[in-house]
Amino acid sequence: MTLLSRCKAGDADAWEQLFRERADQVYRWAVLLGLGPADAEDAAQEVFAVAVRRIESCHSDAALGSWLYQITRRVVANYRRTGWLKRALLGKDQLEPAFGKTDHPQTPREIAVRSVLQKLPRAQAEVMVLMEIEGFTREEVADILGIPPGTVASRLRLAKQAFRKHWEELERTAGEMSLSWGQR
Amino acid sequence: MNEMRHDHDWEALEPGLQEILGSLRNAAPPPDARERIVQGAMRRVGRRSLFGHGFELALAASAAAVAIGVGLHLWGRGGPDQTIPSGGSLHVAGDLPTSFKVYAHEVHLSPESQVEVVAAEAGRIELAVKAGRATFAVEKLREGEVFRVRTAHVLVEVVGTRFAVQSESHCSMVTVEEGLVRVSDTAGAVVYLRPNQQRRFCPDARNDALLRQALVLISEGGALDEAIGLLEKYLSSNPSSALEEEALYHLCLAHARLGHEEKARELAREFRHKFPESARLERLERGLAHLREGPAR
Repeated sequence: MTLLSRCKAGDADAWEQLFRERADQVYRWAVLLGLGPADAEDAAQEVFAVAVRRIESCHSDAALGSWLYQITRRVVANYRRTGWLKRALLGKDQLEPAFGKTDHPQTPREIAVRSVLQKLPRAQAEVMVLMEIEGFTREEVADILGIPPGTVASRLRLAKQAFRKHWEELERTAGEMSLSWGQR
Repeated sequence: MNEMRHDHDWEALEPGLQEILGSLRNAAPPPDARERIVQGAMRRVGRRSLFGHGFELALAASAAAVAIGVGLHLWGRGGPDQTIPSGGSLHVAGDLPTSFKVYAHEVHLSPESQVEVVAAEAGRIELAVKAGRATFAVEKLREGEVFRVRTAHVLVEVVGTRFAVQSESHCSMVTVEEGLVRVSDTAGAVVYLRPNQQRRFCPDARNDALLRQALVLISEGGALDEAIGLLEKYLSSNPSSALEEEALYHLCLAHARLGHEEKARELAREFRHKFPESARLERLERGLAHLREGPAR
């Protein structure tokens, strides 16, 4: 039996295996789509809760990743819709490290990339995350998002332009933080 | 043409971009966060379709443990304890989950969890999650009947439901499976949670502001009455908080400085009892010595 069919049969071990295999990915998606670490953690649980309820709508093990991503983007969108009130009340504009400790050498890069992604239009940022970070192909992204491959390509092109613009602004304003493109 | 120029510029950035974005390709949550995600998700699977199996397994494990005389911490007895517990009794789960009943309501403790029955009277049930996680299956409440669960961070009032409360060091997590609960945090904010809603309550930030404000007043040497009010508010809304020691210490000294001898001595006794190893104890004794030597400042 495949993992998916075992999950559909209500096998708790299979569900745990699925959660363990996908927890990092779902959490990372939630963070890269704009949530802070605490919300991303809650959202990941919510994604899995939805997955449990909707498992019958997933048709193959190969589609599990894209199916989970589709749930994630809806859950994250809900969090973002309600997040404005929280941000207004708590005034939490500063991004918190989501993947490592504050003093981890990669943390400034992580924060910088996330802050630039947040400035991009949502649809563009999403394509950029899927292709440039997650490594999906244009056709796979088109399938996940339900848009034509040509639209994926144009969104990616616009995303790159916007990313470059915001990154250069960030470099100008935060040059003293030693952010750099490495080989540049 | 403009787009082509941008693309060209982007190509120039590409090596650096790949390196930076690539570094996020395998980014993962901290291990404890990952575990919370998995465990939280597993709880949801459990209640969807496997709760019965999981519960039977837990019962089997409990029975087996009792049978072979192990599991000294296990209070589970093959199902929820039918005895109505008295107020003040503490229920502890060791390595295995355990359950007990308060009237018709069931309380399931996860391993390494503690729940105190603060009150168990007809019409008023109040429990406190001291550590770990407990799940509550509350029967329909009659008019005027109250079922409350406290942690150091929140008060959860039941409107007829099935829910879980997890007490962590600085936060509490409330998860609702069925029905509706009303949650009040230590600052008095109230939210209602519905089925499949989960919320973490970390009230320290707002309450720490009370403590900070009090310490500023004390350091400025004035408005001690106001500082005392803030400290008392902080302590009442943050029992057993991480900063309780500091708050109690300053409250005691503030009373001493105002010449409230009896109150200062009472607080000093409480401080000694709660924090016998505290480095502040010696300074506290010195501060109280002024009371013995002469009039307070």
